[in-house]
Amino acid sequence: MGNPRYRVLLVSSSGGVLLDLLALKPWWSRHRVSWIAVSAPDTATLLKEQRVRWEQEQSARRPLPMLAAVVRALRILRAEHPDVIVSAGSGVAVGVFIAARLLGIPALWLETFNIVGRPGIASRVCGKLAAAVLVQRPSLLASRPRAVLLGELY
Amino acid sequence: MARIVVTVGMGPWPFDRLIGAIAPICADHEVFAQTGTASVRPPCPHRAFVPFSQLQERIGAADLVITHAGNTVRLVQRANKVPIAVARQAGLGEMGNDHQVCYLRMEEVSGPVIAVWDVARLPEAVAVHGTQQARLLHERPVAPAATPGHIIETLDSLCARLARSHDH
Repeated sequence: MGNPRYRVLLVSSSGGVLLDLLALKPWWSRHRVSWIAVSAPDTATLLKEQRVRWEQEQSARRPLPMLAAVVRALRILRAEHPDVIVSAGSGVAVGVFIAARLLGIPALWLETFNIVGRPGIASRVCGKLAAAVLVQRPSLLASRPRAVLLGELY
Repeated sequence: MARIVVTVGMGPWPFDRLIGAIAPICADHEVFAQTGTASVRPPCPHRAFVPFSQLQERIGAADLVITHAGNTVRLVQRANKVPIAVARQAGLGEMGNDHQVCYLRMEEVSGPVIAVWDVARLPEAVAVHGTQQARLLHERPVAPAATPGHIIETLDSLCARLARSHDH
């Protein structure tokens, strides 16, 4: 028996939040990984060797497209059977985290480095749905639900 | 003449205010700008998007980096440089919320960064950068990053608690 290996689903928009998930590579590279990512120049380049399902960015403020995103996410999660989901944002994660909650799959929300105060709506929703919120600053431990200090990622 | 890299990140929001403000700097320095979705074109070599590895190389080779107040600020600081940072503002259509403003307000009083709130003052910030950089790096050291071992241990421990385990 080796170390336990998990099916890890990583969910990312374009931009700095992708760098946060890539900084977790020492961990996720030891597990079976697939991605849901928003198609953009940086995601296309940095995830070119990964197994990726491409999605459009979503806004938590637009309920109808979000509902459709939840339905798509349910389909993906039933196909992928992830043991754990991890995301640092942003809107694309909301539908996945809602679907994960419906299916009882634990999801981890990673607060991106430059969020130091009240987070945006995607972060607030996903933080509430998450089994744990990974924070990079001790100052956020008190204000985030089920917070776990991971430390600065880069 | 300094070698300057300007970067506004890879996200979807245009940051025309910053890209539009670098023209005077381009006249006096060797500038390369990563412009993202900006609709304005600076009078210097520029590209909309740069692969991350190339951006890191450019940051490493630069005398000075001007950046939006994204996670790039820390990347530049980790390269032992003091970035000049401009925060995207939601009210100007530069971001969906003001988290860059909150972050830069905090970082400018505690971290090695030069914050610029009025982009007309960018040339002034560039001019004083050399004298401020050494002092800020000395007075405001950056906390060490999490080690790979700590990242692995923290997440494996969480997963052991939360997820169904699959031994193969």
